[in-house]
Amino acid sequence: MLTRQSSVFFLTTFLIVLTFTLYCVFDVPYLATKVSPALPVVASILFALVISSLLKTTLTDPGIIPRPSNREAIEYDRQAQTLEPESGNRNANTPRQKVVNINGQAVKLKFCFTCRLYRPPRSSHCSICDNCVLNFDHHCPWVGNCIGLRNYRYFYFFITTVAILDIFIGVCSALHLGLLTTEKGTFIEALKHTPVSAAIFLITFFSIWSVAGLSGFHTYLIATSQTTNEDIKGTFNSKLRPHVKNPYSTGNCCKNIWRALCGPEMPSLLDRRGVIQSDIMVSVDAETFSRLSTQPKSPSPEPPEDPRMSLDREQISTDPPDEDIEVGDTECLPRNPFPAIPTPHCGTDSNGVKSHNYQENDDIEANRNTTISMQVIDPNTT
Amino acid sequence: MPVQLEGIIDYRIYEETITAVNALFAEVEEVCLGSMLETFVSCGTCYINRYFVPTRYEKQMVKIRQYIDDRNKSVLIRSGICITDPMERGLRVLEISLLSTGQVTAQVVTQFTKQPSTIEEV
Repeated sequence: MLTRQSSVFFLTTFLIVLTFTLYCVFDVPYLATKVSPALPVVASILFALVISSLLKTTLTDPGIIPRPSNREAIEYDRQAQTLEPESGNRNANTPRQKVVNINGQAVKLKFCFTCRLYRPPRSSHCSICDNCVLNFDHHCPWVGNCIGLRNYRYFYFFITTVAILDIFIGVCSALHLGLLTTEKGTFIEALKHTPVSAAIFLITFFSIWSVAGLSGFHTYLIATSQTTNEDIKGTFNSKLRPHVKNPYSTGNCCKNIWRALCGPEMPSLLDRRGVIQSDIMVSVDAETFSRLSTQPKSPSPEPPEDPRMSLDREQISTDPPDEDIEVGDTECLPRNPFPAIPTPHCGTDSNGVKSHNYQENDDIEANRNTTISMQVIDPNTT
Repeated sequence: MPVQLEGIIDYRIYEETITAVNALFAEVEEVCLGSMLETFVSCGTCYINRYFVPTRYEKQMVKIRQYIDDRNKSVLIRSGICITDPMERGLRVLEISLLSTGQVTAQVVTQFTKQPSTIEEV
C-alpha cells in the first residue's frame, strides 16, 4: 500500500520503464542482429523481475501493527500505574518500558504513545506512514513504502535486480557504441548515429553507483542480521557497545541470509476486508452459566460500585442447553480515572472517544468482564 | 500466571495452553525446506501463485484458531475464562477474558516484577 508522499515512486517507475524502452527501441535492433538475439530476452526477463519486485515491495503491507482498542490501552495504563505508582512527577507521558529477554540479551520494549502499544522487539514507529512497523528497516521514498518484516525480501530482490539490469543495459549500450565505432571508424560518427545509446549509458552509469552501493549495504545488513534502523543507531555496534550481542543473529552469515530471505511470510496483521463484529459471543452450557452467575468475583477488596459508569450488557439467553455470554470488546469504554496520573485534557482522541476529566476519589472502573491482556511470548524471543 | 487467574484455573492447564500456542507459532516460524520452496515458487511465478494457494503461515493461523476454539470449548470456558485468538488482536497480546454475567465489579491490581538485567539493555 502506498504511503502519503508517494510521488517519488512514480518517478522511479518512470525512470526504469523509460530506460528499458529506450534500450529496446535503440539498442536492441542493432545488437540482436549483430551480437545475439538472447540479449533482449535476458533484458526482458530482468525487467519483468524488476517490475514485479518493485510492485510487490510498494504494494505489500510492511508489517504494520494494528492499534489496540480502548480496552487494551486502559489495561496498559493500569499496568503502568501499578508498576511505578510512587515515582514523583509522573504524568501520562512519561516513557514506559518493559524489558524482555531474547536469547540471553535484555531488550527494552518502548511504549508507543501514538499507537498506544508496547512495540515488539525491532519494530519502530514511522512518522511518514504514522504506523508502528514490525522489523522496521527504513522508509524508502523511492519505493513509496516503509520497508519492514513482510516486504524486506522483495525490497532486497528489487535493488539487486535493478543493479543487475542497470549493469546489463549499461554494458549493452556501451557495446553498441563500441561496435559502431569499429564499423564507422571514429567514436564521433558512432555517436552521431545513435546519440540515445550514449544517453542510456550515462543514465545507467550514474545510477549504478548508488544502487550497487545500496545492494552491497543491504547484503551486509542481512549477513549480520541487522536492520538499517539498528545499524544507524549503532545498537549492535561492537565498538560503541561491546557488551551487547545481537540476539537475532545466528552467528553464521549464510544462515542469517537464509533466514532473512527464505523464511516464511507472515500474513498481514491488518484485516482490511474483515467485517467488524460488535461483540464476541461465547456459548456456555447452562451449568457453567449458573455457576458464573452466582459466583462472586472479587479477588481483592471490593470497593463500591459506581452506577454512573456502569456498562450496559445484554444477557441473551438462547436454548436451554447453551447460554450465551457476551465477551465483548466495547469500544466506547471511557478511560479510567487514575488520580495518580494527571493527563492533559484533550477534547477527543483519535478514536472519537471523549476523554474524561480525572476524578479525585478512587472510583471503580466499570469492567464487567475484567480483561487481562498479556504479551504474547513470541517463540523467536525465547 | 497472572494474579487474577489464581483460584479460577489450574496452573497446569494454563501452562499447557500457552506452551501449545507458542509451539504452533514456533513451528511455522522455522526456516525450513517448505518455506524455502514456497519462496522460490512464489518468486518464479511472479507471485501469481499467492492468489491460488494460501501461504504456510496462513494455514497455520487457521490451525491456531482451531486449537484455541477447541481449548476454549473443552476446558477453559468451563473454568470461566476465554482466550481470544491473538490474530484478532494483531499478535500484540494474548487476551484472556474472565467470564461473568456482570453482577459484580472489582478493581484488580496486577503485580509486576521488573526483571533484573545484568547485561546492558539494548
